[in-house]
Amino acid sequence: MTTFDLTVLLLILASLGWWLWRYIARTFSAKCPGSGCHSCNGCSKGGRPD
Amino acid sequence: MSPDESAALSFSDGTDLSSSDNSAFTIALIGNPNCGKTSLFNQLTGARQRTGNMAGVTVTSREGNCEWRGVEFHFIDLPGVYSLSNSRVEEKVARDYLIDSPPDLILNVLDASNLARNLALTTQLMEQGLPVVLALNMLDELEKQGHSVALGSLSESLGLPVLASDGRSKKYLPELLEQLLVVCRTEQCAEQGLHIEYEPHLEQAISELEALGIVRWMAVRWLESSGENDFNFDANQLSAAQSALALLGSRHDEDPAEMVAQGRYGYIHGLLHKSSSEHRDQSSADHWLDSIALNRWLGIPVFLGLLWLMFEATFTLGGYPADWIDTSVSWVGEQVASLMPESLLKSLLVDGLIAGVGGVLVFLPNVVLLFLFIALLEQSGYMARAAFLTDNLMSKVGLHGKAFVPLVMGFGCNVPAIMSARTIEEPRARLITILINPFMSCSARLPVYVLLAGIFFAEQAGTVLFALYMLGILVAFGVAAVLARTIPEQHDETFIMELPPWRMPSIRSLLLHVWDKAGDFLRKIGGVILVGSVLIWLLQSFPQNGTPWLEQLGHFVAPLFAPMGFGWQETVALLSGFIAKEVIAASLVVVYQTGMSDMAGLQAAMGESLAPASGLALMVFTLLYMPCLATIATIQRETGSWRWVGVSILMGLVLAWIGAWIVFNLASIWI
Repeated sequence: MTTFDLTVLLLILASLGWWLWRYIARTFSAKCPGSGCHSCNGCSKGGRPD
Repeated sequence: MSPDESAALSFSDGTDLSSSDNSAFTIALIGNPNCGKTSLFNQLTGARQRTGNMAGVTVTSREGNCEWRGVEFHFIDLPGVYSLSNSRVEEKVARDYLIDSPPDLILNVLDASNLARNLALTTQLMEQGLPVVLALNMLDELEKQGHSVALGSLSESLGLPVLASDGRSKKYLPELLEQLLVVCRTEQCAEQGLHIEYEPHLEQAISELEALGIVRWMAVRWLESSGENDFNFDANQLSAAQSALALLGSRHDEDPAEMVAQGRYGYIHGLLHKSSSEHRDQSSADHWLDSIALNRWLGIPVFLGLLWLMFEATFTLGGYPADWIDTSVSWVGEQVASLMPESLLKSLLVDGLIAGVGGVLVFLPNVVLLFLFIALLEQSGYMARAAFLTDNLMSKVGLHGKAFVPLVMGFGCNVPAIMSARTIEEPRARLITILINPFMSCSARLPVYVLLAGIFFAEQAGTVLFALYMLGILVAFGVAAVLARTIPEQHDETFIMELPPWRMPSIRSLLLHVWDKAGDFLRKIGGVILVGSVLIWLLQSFPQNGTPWLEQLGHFVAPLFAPMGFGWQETVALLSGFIAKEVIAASLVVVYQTGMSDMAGLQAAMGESLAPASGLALMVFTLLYMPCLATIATIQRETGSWRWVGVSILMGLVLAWIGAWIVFNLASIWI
């Protein structure tokens, strides 16, 4: 594996970890319905991007 | 209210109301929930009110006083009710109050923007011969809807004073108080005794009870409640009433409550035809459409036929734009592959991002078409008729009539659908609606069905989609029936269904709806589906020497799914669907990529690897198995319990495994 590949891999892992942590935190947050707002019409915030 | 305000008022009948005396009158406010009754009560009594419980129960009522021209009015705010004949505690409280301690006058508050439904309660009060004055709230809402109501004409037809009122201001208060004073003093509308002519068999039953000394309104109310309203009949009367009820039951499929409602609404329709711009006679075309859509024998086949047509069109029409998107995605993939040197980044872009995201993006037209058809059914007024058709079946499996909307919303996304179950007040009915919602096939599962049906059942793909959605509904109803028998009901809840008129859907509104849903789908592709694809690609690509982690994981779990003929690829795809169901399709594209440049290559690879019976079982498993992460979070939030989340997950997994196994074995025989 080249240095470039290794850098790409580390970036992917960091991005995935950050995104998944944020997604799970938002999903189970009492303030936010389900997966955020993108698929929700449950409140006035519906339609607002994640 | 200052005395000066009333000084200028005079009355045509010459009644002298300006003189002060010590008389006091009790006036009860009654009306449907959310009609603005309590707001009007607050305007009438101001700060002079107290809260207490109705006799013997914990239903709260408020009382307050108001002095008008030297006369003391004692107002009682009764609980909001739709009817006086049901078993709900608020209705029993209001019914008992009006029988045991009738007030001097009843101020019936109505929501003018839902006049027909609100007048149903008025007819019950009038049948009972109670002195009633009508106050129409929310006339401004009615005007906003482009309609009007002639108060004079309505008053004349009913033979009751009908006045405008407004719970948000004191605008109509002097006029209303003067009218209450006139009616209390002159007893203008006492003993009205409205006589509605009901269906002949029902009239015969009423006459039989009247012959035994039961007053007409009690006979109607007793039959309407199927004997639940207790009027202390003697043994002879009770026996005759039960015989009359049994005879009625043997002559009609609909229960007496429906027959009484038909009579009442027939009377109300005639009334409003003269005084409301909203209630005009149905056109012959509308009447014909209703005669088909609501027909006892044709209604359900027409409903099923329309659903089949919807899925067939979703698959067939969606196939053309899906091919164009597929070609474009393949072209982009080829260009990127040819421009970039071999590296991990190239593999990520081509094999992970473009393959995974593109693999779901091609189903955008199918999703959009499904939403378009559902919106068409809703906006035309057909969906309300479908709710009416299925109401009987839903009540038999323990589902509340209000559950129809959350269940239909579940075809879009289970998250807002579960949240919309908040409209159901009764805890058991709400819990059942929440727990069965994941079985309503959400739009996220559509890409998986279209992909697999296109591979294994290309000629009957529409029928397969239709059968899957029907299976989801059947399982949902079956689970509801079981849950209804295991969870105790806390109280009954009234549901009144109003059929909207048939409407030609607005093109603009349809396009806006579809645009909104397409935006949701694209946002999801750019979020959770993209991340899911990258995750699957990562697990598929490492370690670079040896068996990939994804394959190792797949082989580890695969024995569980071996009885359905699933390979490790299907196993990992199902595991990834836990994040979001669309990721199943993205995962299948990523794990099956065998150098193919478009969907045709994937179809060929999957077609070789998987038997059609396994393909069908995979669709059934996708339909029934555990809810996605967002739905799980919503179930937890709405039920406030991890226990019900556990029940939902476990129930889904067990039913999915059993369902897929049965389908695989049956399909293996026939296919």
